[in-house]
Amino acid sequence: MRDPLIEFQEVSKAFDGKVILDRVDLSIYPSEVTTLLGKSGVGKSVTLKLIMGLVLPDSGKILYKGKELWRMSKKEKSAMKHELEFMFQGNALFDSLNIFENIALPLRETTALSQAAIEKKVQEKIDFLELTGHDKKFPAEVSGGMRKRVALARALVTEPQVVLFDEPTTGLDPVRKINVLSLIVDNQRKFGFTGVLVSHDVPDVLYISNRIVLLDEGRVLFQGGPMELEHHPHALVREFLDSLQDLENRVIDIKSGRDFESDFEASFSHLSDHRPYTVFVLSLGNLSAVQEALGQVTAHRLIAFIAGVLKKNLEGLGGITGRKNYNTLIGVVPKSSREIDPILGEVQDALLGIDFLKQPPAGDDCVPLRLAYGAVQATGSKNFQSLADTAMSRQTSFLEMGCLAWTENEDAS
Amino acid sequence: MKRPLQWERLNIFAPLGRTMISGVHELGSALLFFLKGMGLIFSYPFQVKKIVEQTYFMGAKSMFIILLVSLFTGMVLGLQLYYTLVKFGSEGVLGAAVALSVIRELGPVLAAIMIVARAGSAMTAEIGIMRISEQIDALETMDVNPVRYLISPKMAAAVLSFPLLTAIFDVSAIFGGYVSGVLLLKINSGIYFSRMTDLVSMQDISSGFYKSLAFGLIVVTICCYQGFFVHLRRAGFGAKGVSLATTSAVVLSCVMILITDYVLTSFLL
Repeated sequence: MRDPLIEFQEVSKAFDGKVILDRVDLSIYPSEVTTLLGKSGVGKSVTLKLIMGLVLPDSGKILYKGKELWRMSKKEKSAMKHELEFMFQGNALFDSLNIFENIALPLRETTALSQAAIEKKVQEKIDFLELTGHDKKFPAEVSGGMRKRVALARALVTEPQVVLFDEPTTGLDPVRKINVLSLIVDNQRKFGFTGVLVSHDVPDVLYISNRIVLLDEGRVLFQGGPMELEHHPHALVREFLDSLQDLENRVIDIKSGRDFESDFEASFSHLSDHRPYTVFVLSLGNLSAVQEALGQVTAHRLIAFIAGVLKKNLEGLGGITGRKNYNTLIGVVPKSSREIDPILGEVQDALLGIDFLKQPPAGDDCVPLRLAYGAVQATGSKNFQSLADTAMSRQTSFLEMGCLAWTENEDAS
Repeated sequence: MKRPLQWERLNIFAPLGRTMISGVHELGSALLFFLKGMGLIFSYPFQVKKIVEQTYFMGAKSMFIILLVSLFTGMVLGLQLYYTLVKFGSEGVLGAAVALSVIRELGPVLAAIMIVARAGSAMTAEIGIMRISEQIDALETMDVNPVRYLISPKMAAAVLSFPLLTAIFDVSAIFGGYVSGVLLLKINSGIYFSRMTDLVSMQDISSGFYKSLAFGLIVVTICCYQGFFVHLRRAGFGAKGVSLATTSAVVLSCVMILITDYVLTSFLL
């Protein structure tokens, strides 16, 4: 078994009586990227500052290469600091130094490199992070995203063994965010450093991380690989992973899978054995293809349109609708499966009248629309998941529309 | 939980004791800060460039205000002393009286107060902002000693600047006395200077020099300390904390200059 490079043993930290970390145990392994996830204020940045020795723990031990931080001699601590670099959330750039001097500072103050060697290393980082031409400017004269990249360049210029990144992509545009994350990965592969990252960029960080540590209410909820995280049942894990789709669901005004399940438990699971209800699913089998051919916004509007038609038809009957997953809508109605056929007919009619997609002229990009439907009738208290799975397994083709393309009629929907 | 008794709540000695303990703690902490800063001036590699930069900021850039204040101080002193001395028929000693007042007292004190107002407040604000924007933490993470990097050059600059600016203040104030005494009130210029050289001794000059040195060290320690530990202030955080620290630094420096002046004068007389 591998030895961790950095290890927290029962570490607690409180500020003004408010517990931030409560007997936290966590391990960071060498040459890996470990990401600390969690809501704001759960102690992610404090964890990084504890590693750096900027904050002292109230109790517990922090070990670096098996040695307790507070038992290290001055020389050992200095050696450790030479191996570590920290990229601050607020960048912590020296506002009286220009960008070049900011990046060169750790080299000038902590190494015996010649002026020419320092200039070469700094210039490499400036070019790599697209800061060329701005090196004589002061931090106050450049944009927030650029300041972030300067801080990143300063953290990487000494080629450290461990780099602690405190929200390195906050405030960056999507293109630069991806650039920064790929830069971290590229540098990590090139130099093999250990990266500890605080980020909220789910799912992007899952692709670049070897390990994920999820913090909540002062405790570690999960630590392990990103794939393990995806299958972790904890509600907060699901909340984080589904956060992007959650936004879309809120915009569409449709319940997420979690909320739908809770509503189902509250409204349907206690119905008597004499009152049937029907759980059904409606899947847009080729939503990924729609997204690829017609764009993400069109795909979003398509889901919003179908969800709107379903809601409109079900709500008057005491039914509820939700989103089971990316391309599947789910509903439950207090009716037998036969009784909901007319409703489905109305849904079909509405979809056939969809007006922001049209038959395109020959040669234009287009994509077929395929909807599948499956339902299961139940009475009394039943396990929601098994009902949903049965409905999924019974899906058959519900609606198929030929070749569709986007129309410029923005107000049509 | 046990409720405090009436007499415990009215006990005025408890807060007084707490204030005293906190004051002593603060004093000890400031002393250690001063010793650390001074000691690190001599650590290798020497920070000559930074010391020169700080001396330029603290010394050269304070010159104009020092010249202006000292000139008018000397002129007022010349006028006031002339009208007092003329009553005793002793206006011939005006030059010596102006020189002794300036060299022994007014020069070191006023020069120090002027430097506090111009450079001391700026030092506190600069270091305070560096603290609240995590720049000092960034230095620590880079294994750069922030006291060595930020404070020691300022201390070295204070040691160089204060006596030099005091000397400039003295010369300029004596010239101010000359303007009002000789040029305006028509005292003989030979008498003005000859009585000065007769009555001003080297001990007077060196006592002024020691005072300016002591004021320099006190001012730079107070101003840097207030900025460096701005995050530990209970009264305010962020920009408000920096503004309070700057105010405290200026007020405390001025008070300490006057107290130290009295103590040193009583020893050096």
